[in-house]
Amino acid sequence: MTSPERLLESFGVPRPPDSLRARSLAAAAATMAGSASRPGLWVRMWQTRAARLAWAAAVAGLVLAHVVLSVPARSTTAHGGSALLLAGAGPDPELAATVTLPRLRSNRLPQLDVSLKTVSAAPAGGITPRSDDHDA
Amino acid sequence: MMPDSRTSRLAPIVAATVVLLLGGLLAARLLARPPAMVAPTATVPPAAAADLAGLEVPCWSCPEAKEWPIRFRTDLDLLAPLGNGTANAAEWFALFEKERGPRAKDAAAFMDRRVELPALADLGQVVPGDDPLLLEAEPWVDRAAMSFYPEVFPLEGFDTRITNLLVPLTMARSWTARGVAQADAARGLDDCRRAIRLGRLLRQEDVVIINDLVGLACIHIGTRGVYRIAQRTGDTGLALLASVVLGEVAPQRLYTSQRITDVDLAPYLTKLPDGGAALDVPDAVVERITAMATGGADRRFRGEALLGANLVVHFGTAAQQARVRATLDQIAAGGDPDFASFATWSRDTAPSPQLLADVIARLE
Repeated sequence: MTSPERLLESFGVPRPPDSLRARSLAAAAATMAGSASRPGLWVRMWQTRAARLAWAAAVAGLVLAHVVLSVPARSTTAHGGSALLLAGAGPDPELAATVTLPRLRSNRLPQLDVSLKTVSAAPAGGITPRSDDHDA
Repeated sequence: MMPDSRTSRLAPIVAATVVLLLGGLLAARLLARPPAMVAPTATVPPAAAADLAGLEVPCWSCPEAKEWPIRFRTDLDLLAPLGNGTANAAEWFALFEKERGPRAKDAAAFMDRRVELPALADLGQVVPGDDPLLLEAEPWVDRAAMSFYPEVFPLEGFDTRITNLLVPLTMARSWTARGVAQADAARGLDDCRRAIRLGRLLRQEDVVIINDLVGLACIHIGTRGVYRIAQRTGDTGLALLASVVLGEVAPQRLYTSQRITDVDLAPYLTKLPDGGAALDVPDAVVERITAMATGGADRRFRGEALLGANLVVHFGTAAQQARVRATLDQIAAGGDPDFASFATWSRDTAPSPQLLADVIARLE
């Protein structure tokens, strides 16, 4: 009859080969040596010319967009102009034809239909020169 | 060996960080821009059928015209009724104020897109009919009201701000050009009426003359378009109505000229060697200034009169200064939302050398 000790010995794990430790260490050393010389994915990507060009283009585009956003609005006049006609500083040279008015002395607008009315006619007039404007 | 390895790992991280920072900053700047304003939905009623038998030609050259308000005597609802939109159209048009407006750049780009159409050279420079800003403006012209002062811009005397009026003027020209070029007469008339509505809105407020004159020009341009389309389609009734309206444009400009000339102090101002100015103005002109500053059917002339009052109260004779100061005190105390602050400015602010130079230079 087999003793219990002998029976348990038959279930024991076999010892690893004596050379396993040496081989594992050698393989690990070889792997470490390989990874040290081979760059990672990002580094490899950074080192490709296409990726560098794409990065440079992206940076240039973004900087350009910032510059465009920062450019002040172009203006055709030094300032926005006054809202008052008599202030002299017109709002815009291009508006001059629309908002510039000729000087007309009071009661000098043509009254063409006086024949229909009994009101005395004011003399017809038009643009009055500055020197003639001192009407008291 | 170690520093090189660390550098080669850092480089892609730094590169990615730069891109992310620039992109994030750009997104933040874009998001910080003012959001686009959206006009609430509105409708525009059709033009009322004109009673041609009752259509009168206003006699602007008759003596009684001197007493008329400087406005169209013909009911413009017959030609182009206003829309019923509730928002204030001035809030959108004010965005294009030169230099200070949040959309001043859009206005400058809009101006750069203008071209002259050889077939419609009389309209001047216009933008193409599908211009994005022109399309964006369309619902804003369907509003019932436009009021810049004091809701959008305060009235601050000489420094009172205005929007970039070339924008609405160019829009009126462009809509009219698009309308006249339309094969479909009904759609063409819609465009011309849009230009007229814009002009009516600009004139509605009656606070500053310059807006009124640009509004009058818009109505003129749009009505010329209506006339051309009516002539082409043989709609003599509409052509007659348009021609009556067109006949009212020039007299309104002339009467505006006359009233402005009445209170213009430029001929009486002299520049002094020390940079100051001397004013030698007849009492009659000062009386016209005080009368215009306090009354009249056309409120838009009051600001111009208050500018004249500003010069008189600082450079006039002692008697003239006292007379004008009393008038300005009265207006300032009156609480008029448009002109009380304007009168205070006129009374209390010494005319700047720039203002004096501009006034004197205007006639030279």
